[in-house]
Amino acid sequence: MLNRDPYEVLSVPRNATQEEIRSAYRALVKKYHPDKYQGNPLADLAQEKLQEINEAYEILTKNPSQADPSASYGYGTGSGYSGYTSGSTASPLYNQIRSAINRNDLGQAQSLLDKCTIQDAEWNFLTGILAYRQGKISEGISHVQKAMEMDPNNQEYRAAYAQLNSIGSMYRTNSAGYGYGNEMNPSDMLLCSTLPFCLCC
Amino acid sequence: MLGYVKAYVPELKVREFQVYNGTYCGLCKTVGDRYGQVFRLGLSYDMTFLALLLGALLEEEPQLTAEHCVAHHIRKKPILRCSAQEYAADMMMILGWENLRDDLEDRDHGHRARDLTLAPLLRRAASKAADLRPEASKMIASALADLQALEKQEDPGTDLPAAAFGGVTEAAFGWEDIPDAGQKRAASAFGRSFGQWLYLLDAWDDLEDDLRSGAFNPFLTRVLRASPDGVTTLRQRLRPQAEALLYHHLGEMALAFDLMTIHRDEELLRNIILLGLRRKTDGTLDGKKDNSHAEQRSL
Repeated sequence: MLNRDPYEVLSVPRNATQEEIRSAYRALVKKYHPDKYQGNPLADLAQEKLQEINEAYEILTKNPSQADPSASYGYGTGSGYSGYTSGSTASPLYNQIRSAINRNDLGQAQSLLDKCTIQDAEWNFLTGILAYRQGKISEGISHVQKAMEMDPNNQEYRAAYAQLNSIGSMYRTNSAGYGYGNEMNPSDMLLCSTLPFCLCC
Repeated sequence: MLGYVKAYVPELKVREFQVYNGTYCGLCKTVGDRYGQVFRLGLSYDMTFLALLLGALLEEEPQLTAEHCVAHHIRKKPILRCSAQEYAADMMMILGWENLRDDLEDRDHGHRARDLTLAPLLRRAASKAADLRPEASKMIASALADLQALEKQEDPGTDLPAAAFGGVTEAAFGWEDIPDAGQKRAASAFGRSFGQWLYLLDAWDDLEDDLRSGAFNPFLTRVLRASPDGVTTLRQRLRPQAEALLYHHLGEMALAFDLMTIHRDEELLRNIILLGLRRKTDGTLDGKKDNSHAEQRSL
């Protein structure tokens, strides 16, 4: 159960209207959406955060049925890595590899992957996620791409591929939203360049 | 590998700017108190960022005092102190010594006189710091050994050395005093991406020097080194790959930062992460400094 103030969780004032609460909630759901943390070692923390946001929203609206359907993505699985336990293709070995990756036991995941004899879509996906976790960014992404091409109907592969490819552009968008690029103005030139040693401020 | 992390000051509020300077001064004083005055000269905004970010994860309020110092001997300056600065000071000694040792081993002989004077002092300071932070120090040493082994290989690529260096910063950001295990993981993950970014940016910055001297550079494969193209052409060819990687790591930092429970100075930290780091990235990618050298030479 939620043990923080729901207003604080949603960062809204106590006198916020239902409309304000709803829009704050939507923004937070977007921020911590599981798709954004696909392949990320902190995916489980994002999931916890989202759970907290959902609970706060339910308390403040007292109307759980209104909860954003996208927010319930990956819910109730109880796994750290959303969507990682499902799938008709999942063999016991693949499940072991998934849970090794979830535990961040990359050595174990690697040695289990080495045991696989068939290099199907799932093998490529897990190899890609593992490579990515080891810091081999492009190699990881190209394996996930291969998985997606081998099994074009798999939503998880598709979402992971889209996410891993868009992390950089997401940063650009956030940074521009924070004012990057608006900064070419004369006050730039006026700024003291010897800040730590300057006595003027 | 210094001076890559700075706030974009024109976008700061005056209050945030004062916290920034107060933290810089606090760290400077802390280093002086813990290790001796000479090390204060090695202070950078990079370590100030470490102190700020880790300090923001604690509920502890920083202490504000007004003090004189060598650089500001006329008017007292506001100084902010907190326990994260003590940790950052220790990391500064460990990382500073490793960096200097690396330089002494394989860089050109330019700074040798000063470096050789500093070396025994810094080594002693680093060993004191390592006693205070045994876990981080062990992790840093092992990540650096991995990095050294990779740098001896032929064409290890960009990602593996960057990940090894990411292990160094992962250890430095994973402060044992962060109260919550999830928060500590978020800080470590942030540190890892930060190190990957820093390593690649520094390598990009050194491209021209390393091409000339033959020193290791993850971007310069054997084939590229052998090609008759000048550094300008190489830069053009490598830029899309470098830019994509640097921005990817910046994005990972932002994702980790979003998961941190920040108790203070959130806007200042956001300014550094979203504006300061990007500015540095774009500036270094454009290689303004190096381009101007190239132009001078061609004239």
